[in-house]
Amino acid sequence: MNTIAYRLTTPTQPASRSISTVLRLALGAVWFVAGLLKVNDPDGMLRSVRAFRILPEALVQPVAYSVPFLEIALGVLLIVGLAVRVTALLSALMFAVYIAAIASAAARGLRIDCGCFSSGGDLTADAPTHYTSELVRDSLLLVVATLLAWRPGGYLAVDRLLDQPVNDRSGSDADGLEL
Amino acid sequence: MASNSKTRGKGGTGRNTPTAPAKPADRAATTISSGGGARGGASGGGTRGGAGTNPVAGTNSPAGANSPAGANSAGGTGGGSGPARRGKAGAEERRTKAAAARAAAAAQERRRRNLIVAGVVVVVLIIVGVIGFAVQNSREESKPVVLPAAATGTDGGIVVGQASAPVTVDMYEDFQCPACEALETQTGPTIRTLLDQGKIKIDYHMMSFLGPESKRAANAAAAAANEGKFRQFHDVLYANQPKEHTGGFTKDTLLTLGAKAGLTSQAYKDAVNGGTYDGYVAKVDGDASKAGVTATPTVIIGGKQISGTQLTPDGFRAAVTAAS
Repeated sequence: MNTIAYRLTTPTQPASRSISTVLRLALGAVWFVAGLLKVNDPDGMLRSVRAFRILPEALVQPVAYSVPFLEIALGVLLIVGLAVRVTALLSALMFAVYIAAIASAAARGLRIDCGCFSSGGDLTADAPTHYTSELVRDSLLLVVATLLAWRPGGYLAVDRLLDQPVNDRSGSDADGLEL
Repeated sequence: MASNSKTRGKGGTGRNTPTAPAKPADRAATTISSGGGARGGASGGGTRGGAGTNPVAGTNSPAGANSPAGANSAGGTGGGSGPARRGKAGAEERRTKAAAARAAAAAQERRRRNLIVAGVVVVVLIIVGVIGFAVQNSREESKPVVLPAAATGTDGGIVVGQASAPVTVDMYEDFQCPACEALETQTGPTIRTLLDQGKIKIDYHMMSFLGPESKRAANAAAAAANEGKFRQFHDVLYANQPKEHTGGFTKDTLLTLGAKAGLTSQAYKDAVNGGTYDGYVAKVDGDASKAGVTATPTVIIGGKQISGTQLTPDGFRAAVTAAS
């Protein structure tokens, strides 16, 4: 019964909860730092987003300006543990988009820096690209986000606080409904 | 929701109370949209239990809903007080059903709450994105674009050379970029000769994506262009290029290097210190990026971009000949 696999995959097991906690905090920290590094360089973000040459010019600015704030918000939500499953799913979605964008840039032979942890964009003519490492890193983060969406119930999360009074409320609120 | 009302309906018929099945069904129908149906279910079970046995059971069950074990024991007390009316099996069945209904209601309530939290979080994220966009937008708009006198080329490029020159070269460079420095060292003399011979004129687009150092340098270069000394200043900066990303090209450095290029006016000093051309510098950078310039140095001779291997003196000369 209490095999390692059982402990790791059962949401209520301490081992599963601990791992979920670690993944959540790590992912939250990554988002927070990634967003913070970019938020003060809107020009750089513009260039990074434009350099991928995927979005039409009209969308470049909205995306470039809002993404760092979204990343910081996701980071904060994950760190405090609020709506973990939703934020993990959104994270996974964003990583999937990033991976697709970098892969497409690599396939088209663009020489750009992904701008993942800074404002990247076009590289100087002799600078090396790091597509492989960027793809590997984002894929790992995608796996982390997916695992977290699967088992969002870690320790030290606001979700757990919200979870507790649920049954009390259903009991007491019912009286109100009887009127 | 569907399974919930089904359970309730069965419980009602089992107890032979004709009004009971209609009542919870009614309630579920009216409260379904608010998600309150779950609560109705829990209370419905409780009330019915109370009518069938005694009022104590009715008040007990909602409290007992805190945990499945608690629910069972509460139901047990209620059932025990009225064994004469019903069989033991019936009480057991009722208790199980009531517990199941409460568990289902609790799960429903949990789902409902999770959905609300998720919805709120998504809405908050959207608002954060919109606010972020507004914040960055207002930051950008605060920089006025002041064109220096010589910025008459395409996309605000600074024009160097004789107006009559047959070939226009577009140079996209960054003062901090080592590859640009290499180009200036290797091919710079050739470029200067061609300029002096009147064979080419150059639109300089000084990009600034490598950092604040690049922006300060480009701002100073625009100030130099305003005084007609861009070319001299450009060459002095490349001859004294600091290592990339080391905080080089400070305002003081730019004033000293400016003096070497003959820039000693108060206007130049004010422009360097006050960032007069910051807006222009940002515009040039944005226009270059929009024009699809993906690296520095990018050299376009007569509208045709030349490859990295052509950036040698011979390659440059050949491209100019081909364009004229």
